[in-house]
Amino acid sequence: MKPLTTVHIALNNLKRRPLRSAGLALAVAVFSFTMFGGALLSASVKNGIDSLSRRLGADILVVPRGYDKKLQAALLRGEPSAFYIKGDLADKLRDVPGVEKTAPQLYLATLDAACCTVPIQVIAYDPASDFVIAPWMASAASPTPGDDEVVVGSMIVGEAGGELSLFGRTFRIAARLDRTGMGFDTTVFTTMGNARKLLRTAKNAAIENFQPDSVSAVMVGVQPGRDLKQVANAILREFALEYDLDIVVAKNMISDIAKKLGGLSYLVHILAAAFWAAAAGVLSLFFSLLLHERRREFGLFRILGATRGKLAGIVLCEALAVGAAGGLLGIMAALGLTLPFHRHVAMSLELPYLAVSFPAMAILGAACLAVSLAVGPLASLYSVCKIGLGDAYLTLRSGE
Amino acid sequence: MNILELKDVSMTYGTVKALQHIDLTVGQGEWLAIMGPSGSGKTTMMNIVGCMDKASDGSVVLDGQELSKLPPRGLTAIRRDKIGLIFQQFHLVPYLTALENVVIAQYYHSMPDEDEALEALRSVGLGERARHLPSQLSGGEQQRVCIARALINCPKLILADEPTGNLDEANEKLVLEILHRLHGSGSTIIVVTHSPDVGSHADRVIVLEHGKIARTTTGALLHKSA
Amino acid sequence: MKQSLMVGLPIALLGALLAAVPSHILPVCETPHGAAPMRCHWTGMMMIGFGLTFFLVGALLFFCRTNGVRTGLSAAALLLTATAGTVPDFLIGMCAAPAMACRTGTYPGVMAVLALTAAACAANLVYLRHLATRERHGDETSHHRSHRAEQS
Repeated sequence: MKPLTTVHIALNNLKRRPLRSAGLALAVAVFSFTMFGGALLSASVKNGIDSLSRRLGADILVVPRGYDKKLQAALLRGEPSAFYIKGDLADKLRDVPGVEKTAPQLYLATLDAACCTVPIQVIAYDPASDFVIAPWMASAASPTPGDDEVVVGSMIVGEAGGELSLFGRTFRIAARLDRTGMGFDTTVFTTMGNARKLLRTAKNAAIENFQPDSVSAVMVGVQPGRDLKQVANAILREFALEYDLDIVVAKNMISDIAKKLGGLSYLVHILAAAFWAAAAGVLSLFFSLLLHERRREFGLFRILGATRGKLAGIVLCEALAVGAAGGLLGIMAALGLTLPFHRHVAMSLELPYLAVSFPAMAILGAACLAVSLAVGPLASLYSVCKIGLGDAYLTLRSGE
Repeated sequence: MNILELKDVSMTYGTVKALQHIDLTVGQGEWLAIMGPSGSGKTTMMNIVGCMDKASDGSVVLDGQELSKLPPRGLTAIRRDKIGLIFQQFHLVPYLTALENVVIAQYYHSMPDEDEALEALRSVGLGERARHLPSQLSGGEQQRVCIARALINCPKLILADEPTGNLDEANEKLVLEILHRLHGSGSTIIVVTHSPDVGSHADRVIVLEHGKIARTTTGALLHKSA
Repeated sequence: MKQSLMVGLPIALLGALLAAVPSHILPVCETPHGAAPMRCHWTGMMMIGFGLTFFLVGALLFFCRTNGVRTGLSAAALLLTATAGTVPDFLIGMCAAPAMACRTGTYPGVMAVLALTAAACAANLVYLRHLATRERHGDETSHHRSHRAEQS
């Protein structure tokens, strides 16, 4: 026989009414699913935004007019784009007051011949002047691509040392990058030299407006302490007409995305609070009913010598068990959805998305479980205070 | 030596006088039957003697301890340590086995002892039914589990409220045999009953009417007059 | 009726869900016009086939009353889920690129439903075993009761 304890009595009673107990656990599970799932989503998007702001490097991005949204799509979601402006802009921009450095980038869109029909983005950069891509590739221990070499994002098919075919030309994969949570995951990086060689034999590239020295965008680094808006306006004043330009201020782009995250977090918190209140309400009602339904049983325990504290212990045990079961169920369900579907979620959100690490996930899970555990005891508080009041023997005999 | 002494005990609920100036002593090893019609005060007396309620007036001394000044926690402790209760409706916990129903009385008293509980069940002839749930036991078997539960903590006083009220003749006989065995081994028993057949097994019978002791007789005399 | 629903309904619903995942809920990659269907298309077809099979197994579980038959059906369905689980990775496969629709949506969807189906089949086996034990115990108790009635 298992030792007879308060816990044993509590769990036995829950097992006696499996459907009812499951229903109560489900109420808590819905809450914990919303809270944990929402927290994971928000934290992953925040990770992605942090990743983006670390990698962006540039203060101002100069693109052809009307292509600012395309640039953002390419950076955030890796949606392949191809757009061009005259290549001498990069050098001229260095003379604008407040500009510290410039680096041109060339964007190409192509189909990955090795696999499937998903289009991929190719970004070419000049290793001599670049200050955006090279530093974080170096910190990721990735070599600068040499002749006929490329470095690929984490979601491109191919291993380091393997081959990748672009525009009918074969390149060697020098390295694979770790996940960034942004468009770079579906991007192939190479040098300007390789890209121009490529375009000479291009078959499928979109090459409207393309000149041999064309670039797609110029990354601008502003001198410390200078007003970004002033520098951006100066660039527009001087070059907008001649080059037909648009400006993207990196800080604004990131803050717009952060606002969307704020909206998402707010929604998640409201939903979680609503479900918590609902779970607490359901459990409160349940424990009131429980007290009424089991009044004779509790009366018997009182007569046999149980203190009110012991009876309260039974009820609190049941409350904790329901909270624990529901909390764990909700957390498992949230993990079951977010982990396998994280890429799908990321693409649906259209926000930078970098999954949180397992330690961070564990901390979030523990916090969520703690709140779920609290629902039951809090909801049962009123019933616990009322328990064992009144004449035990009369209660036992009520209804006879 | 008297195990129980009631001196001028009265119980009033609002304007209703449930018990009036009761004087009663119960000796160690005595079997007392409390009889009377419905509303005579039997249940009220049972509540007071069983430490489930406190008298409005008077003094109640159980095993040398004055009960009227004890707080509710104190009464619970006395009831748990000194009284074994047997109910008409058995009142077993439906989701605990027969053995667990006996052990639970130990759990709230001191330490659960499965062997001791099993022995108590064997003493009432239910050793082989220890792992059965109450729903799997007959009425007589359930009442015997109730008796085993009442005895497990070696109480000073066994208090039975209509112990055979829900049983057929055969099971009634079985239960009375067990009570006789307990009485024979020195246990003090108080049985509240409306049945003259049950009352006639007692050493002494008191009959309550309108909250007062109307008359006192012996079990043998009650049996003769029945 | 309650027992039949408990053993049959979850598997039938999960079977329907499995068929719906690659076709409607999280569809496989679209085949470009004029091109041959990709591997994920054939995996999707297999999953629809498996899904319909599970649906029929669920229906059979609902209508069968014999515990032995139900146990056999549940065990067979459990093995089927294992076989179905090897299709997207080994037997047929899916698109290689991680960003493809079949990889981001269909694959995890199918595997999640298969895992749930396996869990439902395992739960069935445990439940049916518990029922069988209870029936055996109930037979012993009623035999004991009639034996005692005879004795008294």
